[in-house]
Order: sequence, then C-alpha cells, then structure tokens
Amino acid sequence: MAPDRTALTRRAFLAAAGAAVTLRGEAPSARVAIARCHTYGSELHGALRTLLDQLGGAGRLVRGKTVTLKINLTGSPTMRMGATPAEKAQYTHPAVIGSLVRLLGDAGARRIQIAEGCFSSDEPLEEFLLAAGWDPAPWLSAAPRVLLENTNIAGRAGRYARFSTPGGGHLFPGFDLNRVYADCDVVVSVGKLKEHATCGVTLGMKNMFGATPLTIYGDYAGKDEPDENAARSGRVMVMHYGRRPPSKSAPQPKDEGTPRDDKWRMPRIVADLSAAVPVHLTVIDGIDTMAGGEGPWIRGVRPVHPGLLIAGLNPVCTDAVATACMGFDPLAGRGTPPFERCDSFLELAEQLGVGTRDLRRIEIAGVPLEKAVFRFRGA
Amino acid sequence: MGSVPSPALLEWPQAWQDAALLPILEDSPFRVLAFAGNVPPEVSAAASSRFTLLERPGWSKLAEVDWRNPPDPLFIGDAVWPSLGAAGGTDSAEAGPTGLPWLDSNGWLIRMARCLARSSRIWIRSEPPQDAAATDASLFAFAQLEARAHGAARLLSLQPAIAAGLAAGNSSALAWWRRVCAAESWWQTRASWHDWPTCARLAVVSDFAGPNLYPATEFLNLAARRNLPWQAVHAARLEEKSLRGMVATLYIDQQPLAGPLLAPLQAFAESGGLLVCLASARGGIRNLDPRPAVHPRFDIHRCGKGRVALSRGDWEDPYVLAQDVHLLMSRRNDVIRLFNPGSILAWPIQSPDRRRLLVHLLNYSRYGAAHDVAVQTWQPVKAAWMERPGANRRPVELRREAGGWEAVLEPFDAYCALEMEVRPDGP
Repeated sequence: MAPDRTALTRRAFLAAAGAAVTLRGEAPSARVAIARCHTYGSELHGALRTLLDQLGGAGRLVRGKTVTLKINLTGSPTMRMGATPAEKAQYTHPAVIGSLVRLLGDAGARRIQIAEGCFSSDEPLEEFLLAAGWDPAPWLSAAPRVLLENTNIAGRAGRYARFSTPGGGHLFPGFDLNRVYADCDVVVSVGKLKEHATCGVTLGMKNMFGATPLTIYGDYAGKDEPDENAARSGRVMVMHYGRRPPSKSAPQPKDEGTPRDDKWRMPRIVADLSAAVPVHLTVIDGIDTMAGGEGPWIRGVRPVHPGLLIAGLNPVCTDAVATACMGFDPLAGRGTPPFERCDSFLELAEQLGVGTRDLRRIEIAGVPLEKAVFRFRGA
Repeated sequence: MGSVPSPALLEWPQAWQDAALLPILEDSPFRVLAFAGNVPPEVSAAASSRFTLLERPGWSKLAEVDWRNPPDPLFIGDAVWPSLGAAGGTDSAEAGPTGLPWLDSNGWLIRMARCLARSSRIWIRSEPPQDAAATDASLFAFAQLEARAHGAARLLSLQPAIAAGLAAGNSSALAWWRRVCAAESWWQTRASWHDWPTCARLAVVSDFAGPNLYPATEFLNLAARRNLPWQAVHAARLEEKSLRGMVATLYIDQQPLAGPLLAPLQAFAESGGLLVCLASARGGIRNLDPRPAVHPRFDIHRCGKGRVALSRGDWEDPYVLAQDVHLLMSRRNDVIRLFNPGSILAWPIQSPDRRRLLVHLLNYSRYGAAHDVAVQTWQPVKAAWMERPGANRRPVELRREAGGWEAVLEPFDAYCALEMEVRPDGP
C-alpha cells in the first residue's frame, strides 16, 4: 500500500513517491475500487459513495480542503457520435460530476473547483456546458462554494502556476498551468473509460492533458508569453507534433532529435504531466461510453455500456485497473493492444515512479476484476 | 414582418428573342420576368397579360440602400452565391476566424432587410458560380430555397447553356428547369411561414449607414453563423416596444447615445435587459453601478434590474463581438441548440400565436451530415414534423434530454424545415 498521501502536502507526496521508487526500486501502489452501476439514475450516488468508502472515505481526503476536479469534455460541445449525447459517449457524464461534487461537499470539502480546458475556447465553462445542453446549476448547488474554471486561460487568478516534473521527465521538465491546480489541496481527475487514437486509452491520466492552457500550448499560443487572446484551436502543433515550442515563458520540451510523432510524444507528455501534477483521486465513468476511440471524430467508434465506475488514489494504478477492465493488458507495450501504434503512458509513468501498472501489486476492492471486464474489442 | 412574399423572378435570357419560348414558362412559378434592357415588343405583346414584366430593375448595393426610406420593391444586387467557402483553386474548405468553415450566406442580409424595410418586397441577386457546377440544378434550387427561407426571392438567371437547352427542348435542360421550379413551387405552398416572426432575444440597433454599416452587418452575419437569431432595429425607429421580449440589445454605432434613442435603451436596461455598447457611445445612459472587472473586453455595470456592458475598445473583430454578445447574454437564452450542425445554419421563427416553432435548416455543404443532426429547445414540445422539398411531411421522434426537448432529424442534403408544436408558456 502507498503511504497515506492525504496526510501529506502535495509536494511531500511526490517526494515520497519518488523516494519509494528509489529505495525499493518499484513504483508505489494504491488501492483501486470497482463498482457496477448500470445507469446514471438513483443508483449512481450510492455506487460512488461506496467506491469512495472503499478507498478510505472521502472525508479523509477532502475535509477542510480545496478540491479541484478536472473533468473530461473532449471536443466540441455540439459534436455527437450519431445521435448519442456527448455524456453517454465522450464526455464525463454530468450526473457523475454532480454526484461527486455532492459527496465531496458532504465530506467537508471547503471549496470545489470544477476545471476543464474547454475545446478551442476561452469562454466561461458555464457557457460551454450550456452549449452541450447541460445546466451547470445542479453542480453549483450540490455543495457550498463550487466554482467553474476554463483552464485554457489564466482565468480568475490572472497568472499561471509552474509544475516541475521530478527528474526532468521524458519530454517536458515542467508545465505552466492555470492556478486552480496549484491553489488547491486535492486534485481529482474525473475521466471516461475510452480508447484513444494516440495514447491507446484515455482514462484518468490522459484526461489531465486537457489541463494544458491553449494560451501556452495551443496552436496559436504566444511566442514569448502566454497570449490570453489565443485560446482557440487545439494543441496539435506544440504538443502532438512538436512543430513549434510552447511560449518561451514556460518550461521547454527536451525534444531535440526526438520523433515528431504524436504516438511517441503524447504518451510521454501524459506521463510527464502525471508526475508533475499529483492527482490524489481518479474517478472513471465507464457506465455509458464509446469504443474505438475518444470522440465522434474517430472513424468506426460505437456506443458501449460497460456499466462500471472505477476509482483509485494512484493515477497509474487506477488507469492500469481500468485498462484491464477494458479487456487489455496494462503491462502491454508498443505493438500490443491497446498500444498497437503508440507507447504506453502507463509504462512511461511507471518509469517516472508515479505508480505501478502491475496488477499483482494493486489491491482491488469492490467488484472483482475478472467480473468487471468489458472487452472493448472483439468478444 | 408585414411584407408580402416576393413573387418568383426570372431574368429573361438575352438569347431568347422569340415569344414562342414563353410556353416554357407558362406553368412555372416564375410570374415576374426581368429584362436587362427593353422588353422585346413581340415578347411584351405575348407576355404582358400573363406575366409581370420588369424593365431594368434597379439593383442596388446594400451600402446604397437608404434604410430610413427603403424602396418597395427592394432589389439587392450584391448578395453572394450561397456555398461552403472554398479556398481558391484548392480542394480544401476555407476556414473562418473560428476554425469553422466559412459560409457564404444571405440569410442575415435578407433578415436585416426585412427588419429595416418591413413593407418592401425583397429580391436578391448574385452571379452563379462560373465552373462545372454552374449547371447543377440542386445548386440553383438551394439558392432559391435559401432566399425563400428568409423571406425574399432570388432572381433566377439561366446560364447560357441552360437557356439554349430549354429553347432547343433539350431533355437535360428541361430536367434542370423542372427541378428548380419544383423547389420554388414547394415554397409557394408554404407562404404562410413568410409572416412568422423571428424568435429572437437580441436586438441590434444601428443606423446601418456610413462607418456603422460594416460593424453592424458583419455582426449580423457572424451572429447568424453562431445560430444566434436577432432582430435588427433602425436607430431612427427605435421605441420601447421594439425591444419587447428581448434579453439583450446591442447598440453598435459610434455616435454617443442621445435624443430619442436614450429613453428606450435606458428603460430596457433598468427593466432587466442587457445593453451592450461602446464605452465611448454610452452618452447619456445613467444610473450605472460598476461591477468588479471580470471580462477581458467589457466593463459591466448594474443598471436598475439590468446590466450595461461597455466595451473598453472599439469593435475590432466582429466575430469576437458576436461571441462576446452571445456569452454576455448567455447561451441560457438560446432559443434552439444544434448538435452535429456541420455547415448547417438554422433560423427559428414562430407562429403569431406562439404555438408553433419552426426552424429553417440550410445545409451549405449540400451533403448529408456524417452524424445525426439534432435540434434541441428548452420549450416543451408536444409534436414535431420535418418538411423538405421532394419528401412528405413526416413526424419526428422527440426525446427528453438534459438540455430540453430534442428532435433528431433524418439526413437531408440541402434544406429542411422542422416544425414543432410547443407550449408557449413553458419554463
């Protein structure tokens, strides 16, 4: 079992995680819980509460603390897979987010900051949600002091926070992010159980890629400084292909002589982010989702209903278990599903000492893994 | 919108000198014939009892129209050919400032003209494309439908090959003609939609002249591109009742608010509306209580029960202005929401008794969308139907989603109307 990170500061946690690798030669592990949940209706809240209880209880994690929830709203809010609403395919379902806010509020969270880098936009997150057909009001009233932040820009704080990657990382020695990720005690990644075109799978760890501000890492990012008017388009030029650097004010990638291939770069960026930005809790919505890719823009995607919720205190362990729930081997490397065409960010994050992907070392609570497997491919 | 529908207008091909060609037009919906020069005497004698003949209609540019005293009929000669903008000489679509494909559309122009020239019949014209597609009947049918959906008529100019083909009785030219006539005839059976007002919650006030013309018209164009419907109001005719039912008013002109403009806009803001204008045009607006600065481009003030948003700088980018106004008034006030819109522009209108909401959907790519297109509204919907040329009126299945009632449309390649029976006193 990993040390009780909630009793530590975020920096201390990271130091402890690194020390664990150094001393024992293996990445830390933490319990992961799996729940069966068939709908986003009345059963959801109880299922989520049980998950959190199986991880030691939400109160231990958030009481008296400021919590930042990074949710997953990938792609345009008006784009759907066929007629399937985004929340039943590519987006974290609003009921999962609302229920989690309520549980964390009930557990004593002092403030809850819901964050996302809204697709190609600097507009307020509230307005982005409305464009998706969601009403943010239930979230805002689910707990005291809930606020929403579009992290593509500096936002309320007006400046960015620096996150250094311990050991220098694979590609990025650090990141400059919106301060909601710094001005908090607990970071929660609320991802979706999906495959991903450039990373194999997108769960809790890949979700954090959306935290990188477009003003610094976007296609139109400022050359020297963040450009607060440049939050449009995507992160293709800087991140996926490395055709231009991020704003000079931010830590620069160590990419001289490296492949300009998104299937090489993106897994490394995800791994570096997981080391630089400690995520204390990962919750993965696998109730209704999609198979074949991360969004409707991927050819051949289809709706699926795994009926699962997965949560854990270590992002690599949680994603490893979630990968196994999808019918894949989390120890797989490049060339083996789901990483046929890309490197494994689980492996890369493990190398950085963030957490283990070895299921033999991960304690699983709730539904046994063998009963939770929903094969995203075949069968 | 009290004007009558504009009759279908055909430009008499210059190559046609023979009145014997008139029977081609006999059963067509085109009852008004326009002549670039004098009407040939033989044609005049044969046609004048059955057609209205227009010699040298006075086409004017939008910038030349005197919106204080607009003529009837109003001939707008600088419309565009409706299309998905294509980068010259390439296969790639031209992107607008949003990253969205650029659309050449006339909906905004016609709607503006109808707001500002309420009693005028409106015709538009533009040159058809000069490429292989120039004889594609669906292209012309779409152009006719675009104008009709917004309440005007487009001058139909026959390409020389089509005119010659019709004169020679060529079967492919006749098929072309029947297709375009069918689109026009379909519309004429739905003329009652003409007077249904736009379901708008945003008023745009301007004199639509001089230095104000460009920002005003670009705003209208780009707001329509966001599927944000509006009502254009001429500054000289602004009254309190002009703003009834509106959530926001954009006063776009540079001139400071004064005189008769002031009272209705002050009253609008104080009664709960949002007034957006340049800080330098604030003029005599009073009772402003500044709020903490949160917007990158606007200072927001309380004003009675409403708000006044003052732009610190000039209107530099009309698209940014359209986005800002949309978000300042909030998407919460969107009448409709589209999913998988692709290159579709939507414009909602409602029946005078407010029991029918009708959405015109124009697909500028003219290809069926890759994913199902859905229309969502917060208004409770009892039933919905889809109509389009060449297909029967069909009921559309409704479903309840988080954002409201939703109709998923069958694929359509150019135009469809979604009519919804709504409860006007919904939440």
